[in-house]
Amino acid sequence: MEIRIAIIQYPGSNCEYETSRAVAKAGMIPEIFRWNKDPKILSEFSGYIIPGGFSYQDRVRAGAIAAKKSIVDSIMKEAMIGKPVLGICNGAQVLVEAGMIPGLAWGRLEMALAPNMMKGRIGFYCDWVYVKVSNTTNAFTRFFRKDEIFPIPIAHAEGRFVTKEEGLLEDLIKNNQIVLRYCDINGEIIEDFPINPNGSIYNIAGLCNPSGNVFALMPHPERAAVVRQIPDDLGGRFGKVRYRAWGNVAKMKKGASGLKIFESMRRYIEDGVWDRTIC
Amino acid sequence: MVYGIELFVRLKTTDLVALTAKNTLQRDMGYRDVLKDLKREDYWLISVECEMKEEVKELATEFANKTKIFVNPNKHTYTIRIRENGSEIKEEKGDADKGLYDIKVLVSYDEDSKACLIKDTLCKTLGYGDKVKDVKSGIIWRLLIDAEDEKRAKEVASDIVVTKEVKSGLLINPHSQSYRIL
Repeated sequence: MEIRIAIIQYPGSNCEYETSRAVAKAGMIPEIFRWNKDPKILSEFSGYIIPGGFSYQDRVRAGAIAAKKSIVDSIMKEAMIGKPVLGICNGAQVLVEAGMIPGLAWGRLEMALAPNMMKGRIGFYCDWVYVKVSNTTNAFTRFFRKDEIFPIPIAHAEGRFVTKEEGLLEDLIKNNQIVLRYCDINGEIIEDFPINPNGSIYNIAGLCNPSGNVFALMPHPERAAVVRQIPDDLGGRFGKVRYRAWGNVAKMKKGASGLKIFESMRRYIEDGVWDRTIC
Repeated sequence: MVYGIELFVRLKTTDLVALTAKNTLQRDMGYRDVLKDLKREDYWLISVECEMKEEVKELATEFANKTKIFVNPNKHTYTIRIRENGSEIKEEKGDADKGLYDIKVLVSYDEDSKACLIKDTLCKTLGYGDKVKDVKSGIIWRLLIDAEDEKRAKEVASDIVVTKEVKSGLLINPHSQSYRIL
């Protein structure tokens, strides 16, 4: 089965090529799709990824301008029939600004990805963090165990999930929409910086829509897709895996935790779930 | 006595952020008929404690010219306004010209960590100490609206400013930002 994935390239996107490599490694066929191409062609693809970067130079607000482009309407239509849509970092900001995440009412703005709140500093922050898997029933975490902990890099200035909607957080918990939460190496959820690197409510790192086929993820799974990408000094179990892989190309090219997100997406498409989904 | 130094900072060159926002509003969101122009400037409100108003003026010029935090003279111009603390920002209202209304909107983040850090820099790093009481930041958007009267122009401005849905509003996300029509 040939699975084609459109990786949307906006002016200012900068993670499309590494995302392509992760998609290819997960056994799908990536195609970089420029934002101003005919959006009708989009229906030919099985899934969509809005990669990281700085679409439109983050003008006005990160993701705000990109969310207004007609390509997002087409992606939303495909998502409504159940096709998988993954927004990574800037892609997550686009999905939130487009009202696709949390997506309790399609197109309505229910959250913001606000500037990071960090003790003693402001602006852009990049580091490796740990996240805990809270939901394994959506399209993107099927290959994870519940409560699995894995390291993943973050790199953003506006990644703090916030909302002013009363009761929304409770609804997200009830609907099992919170997929990944920032935690320490032992899986303990600690609200303070740097465990929660941006001050996100409920330590949210990744959030899906109620149907589980649209996923906004602030960390970068494409930068944690193979062992080679894990830093030497990370420590813990994953650091040891990386250390032991030194000098062994085959081990260095082995899939790491981030790849499972793309592999889950492939499995979801192979299962053809969207044929039965009505959103 | 506590005074407020208002610093309005504009780009000397074309403001690409304002241009992109205007193009998006006009071309992608259907505001072409009502939104005729969109401009923007950075807004800073620095509360300082001084004995004399003259001292405040000196301090304001120093903030703008010497600190190199608020203004980069290579690309910015600025204006300063001094107000006594507690008084509201007042905008001079121009007469509506041929049904065009110039609506100014102050947009700010609810949690302004940038302003907190700038305050720290002024107080600690640059040695202004207790003189600087508070710093607030924002952006003033200036919308030129075509409407039948000012009330309608303000309604349209609110509609453009607040993002409620994907196809309505752009300039603030109400979950992390607030706005005030001046």
